[in-house]
Formats: sequence, structure tokens, C-alpha cells
Amino acid sequence: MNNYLGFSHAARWALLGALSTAVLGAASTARAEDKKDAKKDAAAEVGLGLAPGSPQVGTLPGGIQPSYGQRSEDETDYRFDYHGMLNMPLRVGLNKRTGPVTSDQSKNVLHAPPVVPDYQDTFGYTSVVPQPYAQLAFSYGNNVVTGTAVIVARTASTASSFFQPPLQSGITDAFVTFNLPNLAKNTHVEANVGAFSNAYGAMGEYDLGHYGTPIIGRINGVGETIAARYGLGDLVIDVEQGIQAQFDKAPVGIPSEGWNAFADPVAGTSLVHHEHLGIGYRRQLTLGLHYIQAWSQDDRASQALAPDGTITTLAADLRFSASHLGHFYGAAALTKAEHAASVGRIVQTMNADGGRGLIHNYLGTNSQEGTGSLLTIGGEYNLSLAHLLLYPRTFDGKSHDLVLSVFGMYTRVQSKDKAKDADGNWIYDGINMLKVGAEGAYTLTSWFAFGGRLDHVSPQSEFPGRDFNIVSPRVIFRSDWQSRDQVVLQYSHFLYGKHPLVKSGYPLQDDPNLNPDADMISLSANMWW
Amino acid sequence: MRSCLKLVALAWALPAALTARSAFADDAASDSKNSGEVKVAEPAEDDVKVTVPAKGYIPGSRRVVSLGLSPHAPRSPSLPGGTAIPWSAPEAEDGGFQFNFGGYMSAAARLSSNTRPRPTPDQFQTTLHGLPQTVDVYGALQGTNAPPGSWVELRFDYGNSIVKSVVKLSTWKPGRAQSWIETSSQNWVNEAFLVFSPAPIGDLSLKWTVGAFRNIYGGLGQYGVGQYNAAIIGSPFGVGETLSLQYAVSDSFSVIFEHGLMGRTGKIAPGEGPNTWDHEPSSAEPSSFVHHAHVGFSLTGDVPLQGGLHYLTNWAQDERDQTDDPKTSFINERHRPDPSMNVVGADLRMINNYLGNGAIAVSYADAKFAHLLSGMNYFGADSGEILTKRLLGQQGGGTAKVLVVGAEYNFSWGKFLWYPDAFWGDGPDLINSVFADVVKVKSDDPAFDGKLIYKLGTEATYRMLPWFAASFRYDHVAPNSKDSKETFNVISPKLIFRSNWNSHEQVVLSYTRWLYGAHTHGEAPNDFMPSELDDQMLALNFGMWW
Repeated sequence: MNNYLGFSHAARWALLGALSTAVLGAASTARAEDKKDAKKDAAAEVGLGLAPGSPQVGTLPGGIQPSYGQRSEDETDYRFDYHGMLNMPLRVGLNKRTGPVTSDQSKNVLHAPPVVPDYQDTFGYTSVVPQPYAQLAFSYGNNVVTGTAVIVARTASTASSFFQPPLQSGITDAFVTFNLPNLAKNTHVEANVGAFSNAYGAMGEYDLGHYGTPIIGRINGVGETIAARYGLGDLVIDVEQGIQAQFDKAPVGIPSEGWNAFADPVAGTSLVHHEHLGIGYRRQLTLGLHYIQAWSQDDRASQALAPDGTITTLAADLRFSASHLGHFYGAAALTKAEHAASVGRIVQTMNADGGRGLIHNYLGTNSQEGTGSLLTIGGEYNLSLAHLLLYPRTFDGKSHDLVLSVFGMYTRVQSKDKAKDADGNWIYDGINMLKVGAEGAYTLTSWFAFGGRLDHVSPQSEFPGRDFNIVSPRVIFRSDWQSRDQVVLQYSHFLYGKHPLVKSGYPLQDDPNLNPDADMISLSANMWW
Repeated sequence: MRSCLKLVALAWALPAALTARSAFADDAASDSKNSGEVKVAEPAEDDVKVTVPAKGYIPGSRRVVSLGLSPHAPRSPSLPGGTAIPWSAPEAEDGGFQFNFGGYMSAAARLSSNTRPRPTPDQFQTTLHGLPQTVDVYGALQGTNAPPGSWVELRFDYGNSIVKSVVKLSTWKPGRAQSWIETSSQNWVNEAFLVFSPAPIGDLSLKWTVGAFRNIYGGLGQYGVGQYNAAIIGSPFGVGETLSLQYAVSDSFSVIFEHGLMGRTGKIAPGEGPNTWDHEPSSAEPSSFVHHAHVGFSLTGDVPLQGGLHYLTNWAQDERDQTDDPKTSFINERHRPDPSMNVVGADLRMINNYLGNGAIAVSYADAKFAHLLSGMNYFGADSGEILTKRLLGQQGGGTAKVLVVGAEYNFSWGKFLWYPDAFWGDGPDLINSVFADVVKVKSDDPAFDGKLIYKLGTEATYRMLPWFAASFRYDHVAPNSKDSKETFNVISPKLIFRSNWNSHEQVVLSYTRWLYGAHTHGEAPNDFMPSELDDQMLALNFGMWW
């Protein structure tokens, strides 16, 4: 009997048999393929030693983690990420040769880097002279946990005149970030654990600001920082806490040389703890209170009866990202140093490394191993004129705009170093330092902008001759209106007082006899990603 | 006056205070209409009433609650001008940006061998040396590059069709194989630059490279500097810019203009050296610059041709740190002259086709006190000091005139015999190469004045299997026309293993034999005496690019 398809019973069985054979055959082939793959995998995994590239570390504590190289059950959530920034400037200081000039010499001289008073760890730092900087951050993780390793260089070997290991820092940061958004309702917890850096008092809206100086402080070390944020209506309560230490201490007897960034055996193993409390209003207005204490209690550093050193900073800041009214940041910080010479670079105050940096740049060498205080007040205001004028219409930044900024910083130093100069003026104690500046840039086309910057710096209130002003017109080339890349061609003219002071040597030391450059030209390439 | 200031402040702040609230409300309203895609990955999204501006950066747009900068934030100040989006600010569009990872690695296990004159019973008569103790050091005139050394370069690109950032990490001595830590062997960030390639304007296309990088002119290879590993015209390196313009005159003919300026990021400071960890630099060395300009043409077709005229000048005019360097008895740095080296050159190359790939280049350099220069590689020498020791002569501080001519020709029999059908190397092939460099020196140093130097060589490689090829190379080197006993020959057979016909990698097992003359000696910085030179070497070289 034929069925509706016209197949006989026998034919149906024959067809079924053929199909079964094909399916079984295919299954058998698949199984064979699986076995083949398994064998291949097994062969790939067989080894009498560790694979090249395995980390040179012992078993991780606890033994509950999959080992390095072991496939995790769910790899799909994890992904690789790459971020970074580069800033590579050609900088030329222009000057004239003093004294006799031979026939083999030119009267005009060219200096790279320029001989100007723009040193990052001093109060006089304006960042007008662009500095080489490259940062590569490699991350791998998912939405809960991310591991990040950061490579930083403050030069590029191909462009350096000699090899300075401290400028090629290699892997500077290696840390794990945990994002825990659902621990409780309206709560977000973020923790960083490992070797990393935190900066507080950044005057820029997203970065360190025009002075490139965190006004409250920077913390460098290995440890943890936890930030917990709790949303409460229009308010966000932000609490941060961290503790960090250093891996090691410069051993006694190590020569203080360039290759080790002039290691300081006087500094002990240093630690820092820091606590912060902030209140945010609609994520636009943030008020913060900050407490940072770095200390050392190392008998190798503070030997015999020498007291242990501390650097304590108490600060408050206010940030207002006020939509069309621009961005304002203001902060006040009081840093108190007591016998701070034994505190290492775990903390940076005004970019000065630990106690030694404070002594060298602010407190003086006879300040009872770094005893004194700094009161610093600073602020920055940034405004988009187009955004303001177009308000209440929205402005997306993709047309002409005039971006304006004003910024300033004031520091008063009190020190145990009562040294005076020949005229009876204090050199360290009671000194006021002030710098103010303004910047404007007009975006003419999507690829071109021009502008300028003015700076006034008074690094030593008792020595008006050290004051200087900088005028810096510049043109900017970029790939689009809202690009993250730009090439800046800048000219800077330095107007010095009667007694300008620049540095020379290695390490850099004040050199009153050096004639600073009055003019500088720079061409810098900037991009982040 | 103070009252006036207060009044101005009040006038500015009052509208801000009065409009702030309505601004929030308006922003929020407009956001809900216009910026539906905007998300803020922050706590309590539902609970906090947030006014989110459009993505992109305009001052006043930050909506991230944080009391400090993230550990990811770069430690650099705001970008000049405030017109670029600051780091981590939300972008308006992704802009088509992509990450790309490229690189090159070549690591070589090289052992040179010699015999010990008077071995004890506890000593082998045959000695093994790694690093090889031969005449062949990087960039040396006497070098034939027969056994290439190690170089590892990791290249990280991020960019779109208009702009791209490039950062290269590199080393010439991978750490695992080091017997001692030579700090300067790890370059870390060796190059970091941006490349702008805007859309062509009509027939004019433009490329602008800005940052820290290297240019090469007069390379004899199709993609490299050639068999002798030395650019004939010059290679400026440092921080600066190079602008290239190409104008298409017709479909097949273009003219090319190129210009660049480079300098150094720093100068060696007094008190810095001499130290072994940084190759004993001298603070008496001034900071140098390079300016270069080029014009050339490109002709496409069955036999593509490219040629150029080149001008490069490497100079310094720096009065700092004029203290005499005791190592340079031939220059009094207390009255240090401004050093300079001007190079003019020309090259012509035939790009890979059925007739082969070839290039010829010539350069003429006029150097004055070139020992003090840095920032330009000339004929393999990476600094003025090395160039002076190898080529210009130390008497006179590197004051000399040099003519260099180089040529290289590579011929693929497979490509030739398959023509007019295309052959892409995916089958057996015999490749023949000939190459030569000739140098004539007129120097203030009598020992170098009038010297004629030449080296020439040939190589034949038979690619018989996808995974195997065999090669043989012969070089003849005459480093000093004033002493024919310095002349020597080199033979180097090789076995080459790889994964496929056109693979990116290869493993090369090579044997190299130097047939030295009686007076053959090493060159700076390895001035081996004839008795110290090893005459044979076994090398296992691993290379791959991606």
C-alpha cells in the first residue's frame, strides 16, 4: 500500500535505513572529529615544563583561582581593552650666546629642552612648556573585575640624547578594579587593589588642569582604595578610603645616581592612609573633604632618637560643572610636615616627592628634617562662550567656539628653616607664592583653532626679581571639532624679573649664573584613546 | 576698587545662581527629547535626577561623581587650548577608531668560535663566544649583516582613517636571555607619534607625522634598508614632524614633496655621566637638530619606478656646558664649535615586478665636527661619535667629506618565468640578489683621508618546499684601500624553516665563516684586534612579524 507520498512500506524502511546510516555515520564522524580535536587539544596541552611566557610567580594564595593559562568556564564576558595617551613635543629654546663668539660658532643658540623655569616639582611649574609623556594601559576584564597594567614613559628612546632609566618607567601601575554596583539599593562600590596612583585636587574638569598639579596631593603605592557612593534623591554621598605602602626602601649604602632616580636612603618604608567624604548634587556640584596622612616608622630611616616623619594634608574642594555656565573648581589644602625627611615618595604634595621634595622645594634644608606647613589655595574656571550665548539651545561643540579658562594658585609656606638672605629676607619661612593665568582658544574650523595663554608667576614673595610672565600664542590643528587629538604649534615669550632663576646639572640644582631663554617654540602632538 | 570687584563678581554669579535650577530643568527636558542614547554608568540611576548634556566635551558637562582622578588618568596637565576632548570625557561618536597590534621580533642564538692558543687539561681548545666576537657589529662598515641580531618591537596603533596614534615598545636584547642587565637595551617606549592622513583634496594627498619617530632615506630594500642594513642617504630620528605631499599629475605619475624637522627631548647634563648604564654620554655634547627636505616622483605600471632628491642637515648651536671632555683630545669643548653635517642625495628604485626589485642610491656628506652631533643615522652609524670613529676620522673631530654609493638588486626567477601571469611566491622559486656599497672619504684625519671602502655580495635562495628553503651568501669586504690586508671574505650557508610559502615567520639555521686578511680588525665600539677575532659562527635565528 502506498502512502500519500507514494512510498511503499518497504521503500520507507529502506529510506529510513539509509537516513539512519547517514546520521549515524555523520555522528560517528563527528565523534571521531571530537576525539581528534580532543586528542589535538590534549597534545597541545602536554608538556614536561611550564610553557614559555608563564608568569614567574608562585601559586596564588588560597589555590582557589584557576591557574594562569587555564581556560575559565565563561570567557565570553571578558574582553581586552587598550587605552593610553601620548604627548610628544619638539621644544626649542632660543637665546643668544654670551661672551666671545668664534668663527665656528653661531651667535644664536638653540636649546632642547629650553632653559626656562618650568620644573614640574616646583611651585613655578605652569606646564606652558609641553613635556614628553606616553602612557599605555592594557586592561582585561568584565563588568565586575578588570586587571590593568600601565606602562609610562616621560621620553621616547629614539628622541632622547642619553638613556635615563627613570624616564622609561616601564610598568608603573598594575592593579585590579572591582565594580560592585548592586551591593545595596542605590549604592555603587568601586575598589582598586594593587599598585596604582590616586590624585586629589585635580583642577581640570577631567584632568589635572592647566597647572598639571593636583592641589591636594597624589598617592603612589601598593594597597587599596575603596569608594562607596550612595544615591539619595538629588544627592550622592561619596566616601573613599585607602591605604597604601611602598614595596621597598632604598637600601643604606646605595649610591644616589641618575639610574635609580637619585635614590634616597634617608627615606624609610612609607605608608599612607587617606579618607575622603563628598556630597554630590545632581552630579554637577561636588563638595569634598579630604584627609591624607603619610608616615614612616622605620628604624633604618629614623635611627637612634630621630623622630618618625609624617606629612598630613587636610583639604576641602568644590567642583561645579554648571552646564552653560562652565566648570569651576576651587580647593584649599593645608599640608603639615613633621620631620618629613623620612617619608618617601608615597605621597606627592604639589608634585614634590615625599619629604625630600618638600624640603628641596619649599621647606629648606635646615627645617629640622622637613618640618613646616603649606597652605595652598587654588582654582580654575572654564567656559564655552558659544554654549553660554546659545543657551537655552543646546550646543554640541561642533561649530565655532571660544573656550576660556582662568586659573590660579597661592601657597604660603611656614618652615623651621629660618634662613635669611644678605638683605635680611626670609628664604623659606613666611614665603608666599602665587601664580595666575588665563587661556583662550577660538575654534575656527573643524581642523584649526588658535588662541593663547598668559601666565604670571611669583615664586618667592621676598624676591620680586624672581617673578616672571609668559605670553604664549598658539595654533592648533586637529582632525575634527570634537577630536581627541591635536597638534599644537606654540611660541612662548618669557618676561623675566631682574633675577630669574633656572636650574642646571644632574640632578637639577638652582643655577643663578645661567641665562634663561626668553623665547621658546614647541610643536607637540597630543592624543588619548 | 574692592567694591567694584565685588559688584562684578556678584553680577557674574547672580545669573548663575538664578539660572542654575532652570538650567537643570531645561537640560533635563531637552535631554529626554534629544539625547535618549546617553547613559551615565553611575550609582542610583533611577534615583538621582541627572541633567545629562550631549556627549562630547564642553566645559561644564561633567556628570561623574568622584573625589579624585581615577588611577587610569594620565599624569599630565590639560591639553593646550582646551579645544580637544579631555581624557575620559564621553565622546559624541566613536569616530571609527580601531585598535591594532603589530610587531616584529627577531631573536638569535649566536655562538662564534675560535681556538685557544695554549689550553690547559681543564680547558677546551675550542672556545665559544656569545655575543659573537667578530667584525660584524650593528651598523659597522665591515658588517655584512649575515647573522642578524635580536630586535623585538611591539607596535600599538589606535586610530581611524584620519588620525592614528602609534606607540612602539622595543628592545634589542630580550631580558630572559641576558647574562647581565644592560638597562639601555630595553627601550620601552621607543617611538610615539601621530599620523594624520586627511582625505585627499583633488589630486593632492597629505600625510603628517608628528611626535617621536624615525625617517629613513636611501634604503635599498623594498621594505627595509637592505642587505647591508645601512641607509645610504640618512635616517633622522627624534621628536618633531614630517609632512608629505603627493600630487597625482596623471593616473600613473605623481610628484612627492617631503619636509621634516626634528630635535631631541633632552640634553646630557653635567654630572650625568660618564656611566656604563647609559653608554658614557658626555655633557659636552650639544643638543642637535635635523632639518630635511625631499622631492621625488612615483611612476606606476608594469615596471613601477620611484626616485628622489634629498637634502638633510644635522646641526647644533648650543653654548651650554662648554667643558673639555678628556675622551675627545681632538676637540676642545671649552671653545666648542657648532657642529654640522649636510647631506645631499639621490635615489632611484624599481619596485618589485617581473624584472625584479632594485635600488641605487648616492649621497654626499659634508661634515664639520660631526663627533658632537646626534639625531641622524648616516650609513649605519647612529651618532656622530660612532660615525667619526668609523668613517670620518677623529683628528679634526669628524670633519670630512664622504661620498657613498649603494645598490641592490633582487630577482625572482618564479616571477620572471610566470610573467605575464602573476606569481605571489606561493610555489617553488629561486631568488638571486646582488648588492654593493662603495664609500670614498676625504678627511682632515690623515688616517682616513683618501680612503676607499667597498663591500659587495651575492645571495641565492631556493625555496623548494612550503616549509623549507636553502640559501647561500658570499660577501667581499675591503674596508681600507690603504691596506689591502684588511680585506676579507664571508661565506654563509643557511637552512630556512617556516610554516608556509608566504608565511610571516622563519627559523634560520646558519653557519658563517669569515676569511680574514692579516690585518683585519674590528670597528668601534668593538675594536677587536686580529688575534681576538672569531672566524666562524653558528646561529639559530627566529623571526616573525605581524
